[in-house]
Order: sequence, then C-alpha cells, then structure tokens
Amino acid sequence: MATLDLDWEEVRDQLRAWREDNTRHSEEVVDTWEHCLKHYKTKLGDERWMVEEQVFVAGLDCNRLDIADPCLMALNEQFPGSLRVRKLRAMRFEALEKFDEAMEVYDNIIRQDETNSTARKRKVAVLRGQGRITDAIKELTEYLKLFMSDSEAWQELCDLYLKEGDYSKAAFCMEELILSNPHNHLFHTRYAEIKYTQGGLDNMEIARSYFCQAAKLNPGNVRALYGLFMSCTQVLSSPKLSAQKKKETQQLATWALKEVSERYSRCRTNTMDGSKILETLGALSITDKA
Amino acid sequence: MSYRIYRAYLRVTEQEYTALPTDISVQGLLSLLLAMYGILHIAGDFKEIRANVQLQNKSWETVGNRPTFYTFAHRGRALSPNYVMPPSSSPQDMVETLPS
Repeated sequence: MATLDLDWEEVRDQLRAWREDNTRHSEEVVDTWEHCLKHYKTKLGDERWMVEEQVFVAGLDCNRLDIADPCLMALNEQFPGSLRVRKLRAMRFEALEKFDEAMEVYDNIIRQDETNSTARKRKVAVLRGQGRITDAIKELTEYLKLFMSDSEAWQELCDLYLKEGDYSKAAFCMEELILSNPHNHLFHTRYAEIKYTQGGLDNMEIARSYFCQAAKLNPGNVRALYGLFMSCTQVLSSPKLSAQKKKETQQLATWALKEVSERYSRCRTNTMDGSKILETLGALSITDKA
Repeated sequence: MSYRIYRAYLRVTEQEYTALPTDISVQGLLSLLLAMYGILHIAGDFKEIRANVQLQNKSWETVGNRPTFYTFAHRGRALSPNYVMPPSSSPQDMVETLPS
C-alpha cells in the first residue's frame, strides 16, 4: 500500500482518533507509520510519545519487531526508569514468547508500586497467552477483589469464562457490566446471548427480555432483533406455557421478523432479500427431514 | 479594580456617588463580551445528553476491545514478513511416516 502521498497531519489525526476510540487497527497503524509518519517524528511535539507507544504495541501485534524496537529505544531514552516503559519492555518479551522473563518484570513493577493496575492485568494476559486459562481466571479474580470497578477486567473475565464454557459465571460478569453501564445495548445483547446458550425455559425468557431491552435501546441492532425472534421461537416450542403468553410471544416474534425484513429491504442488497427471511432461518434448523 | 479606585477618588474629593462613570461600565461590558466569545471558542461542542445515542453505531469490536489485555499469541503473527515457521514436524513428514 503506497501511502507516501498521505499528509502526515492527516495520519497523526487518524492515529489520535484511533487512540481515543479505543480500536485495534494494528496493521494500518504499522503501515501508515512505516510509509509516512516515521519521517515526521520530530514534528509531532508532545504527542510523539503517545504515538510511539501506540506504534510499538501495533508492531508487536503484527510481529514487526523491526518497527517496534526503535520505538521502544526512543521511549527508553526519553523516559529512563519509567514503569510504563518497563511494562512495554515486558510486553516485548511476551510477543517473543519469553513468558517467564515477562512475568519477572511485571512482578518487579508490582513490588515497586503496589497500586499499579496495568502490570497486574498484563500478568493475566501472559497467562492467557500461554493458554493457561484457569490460572488466568484465578489471577483475574484476585485482581478484581482489589480493583472492583474496572469494567475492562470484568469484560475480560467474562470472555475467559466463556472460553472455559462456564456460562453461569460468565453471565454473572455480564450482569456486573450491565449494572455499571445500563445504557449499553451491546452488553444487553451479549448477556441475552449467554442466557440463550445456557438453554432452558427460564433462561430463554430472560434472554427474550434482554433482547427486547437491547432492541429498545438501539433499534438498529439487528443482532438483537434476530436474537429476539430466535428466543421467542424457542419459548413457543416449550410445552408449559399459558395461552395468553403464547399469543404475546408470537406477536413479539412476528414483530421482530418484520423489523429485520424492513431493515434489509431498506438496504436493498442483492444477496439478502427482506421477504425470504423466514425460509432462510428455517433452513438453519437441524431437523430430521432432509 | 477601577471601580474601587473611582470610589476612593470620590471619597477623597468629597463628591456624591450617583452612578458608575460611563467608561468603567463600558469597560465591564466589553470585557464580558470578550470573555463570552473566548469561552465559546475554547469550550467545544456539546455532547449528546442521551447516553445510548453515541453507542448506536458502535460494534462489539470497538466497545469490547480491551487494550490492557492484548495478547500477541494469535494467527496474525504469520502474516508478517519476519515470520519464521516453527521447526515442528510438518504434515508432509507425518504422511511419509505412515505405513504405506
């Protein structure tokens, strides 16, 4: 990708937007740095060190140590003895799969500064990188006893429990997240999906209500609408349901399907026509008829 | 500040205080307008009050991104030009060692 003609100021603004948006665009960061911004390092002013850190992490992510190492050296020169730079050096060990050295550095940082939360979180990441999910879970629960309100850590714990298949504990983590961010439709959707996976009539009804909430918070969340339809059909297929509830659930299911087909017909794509959604979903079900 | 100086001057010269002189009030008004203009330009745009509106277009990729927990042990490593194949036994070796 020849990006030599990109304006370095645009690249700098793009990197800043990605930093603030908290997104992971490692390949693009490495590309734009290599072809454009690297030559204008000195013009960045105070922002230079944040950009160097961002490029360093992106370089480690893409296995481009030739990009990451100069950044680390520049940061080390500018901030000698800084704990943050030491953490970056430990991350470099992680990328090279030298997990024991990385753990040592993190333990040193924690010994030096008890309140440093990022070093503790990186220890969890080291365990996860080694594939020791149960140890990572233990370490993360210890961390959460100290730093209870860290929503990123709760998200990570939920993800680790899902990797282990422990859906009830993952649902608990998601509940904590919903408590702290009740307006976030994505958390509601994910919680509903976990409950749907657990199965059983009670969980299905909970999933249905949370999908409803997600659709209410964001009418554009098609995933929540699909989830609503599927949880409604699951609830309808259970034998012990009163007639009035059956009618309500059926209405909800038809409404959800109508919304989905409306959204698709508004987009007017060739591959997905809004009118045939019911047949498409029927084709997904695992039944005996061929 | 200038109002206080004016009052002191009036006390010294034993004149009655009726109203603020025009230049001080004009000064006050102008500085108010200047401050308002300055603040409006520095302060920036209003943020939307409803908390869920800024999340409408975000996907799980952005919201669920956890930068402090990044692991680098993923398949993206193999896409880099520096990637070295690990020296483990390849499937070809295993096929050749199968009894024919």
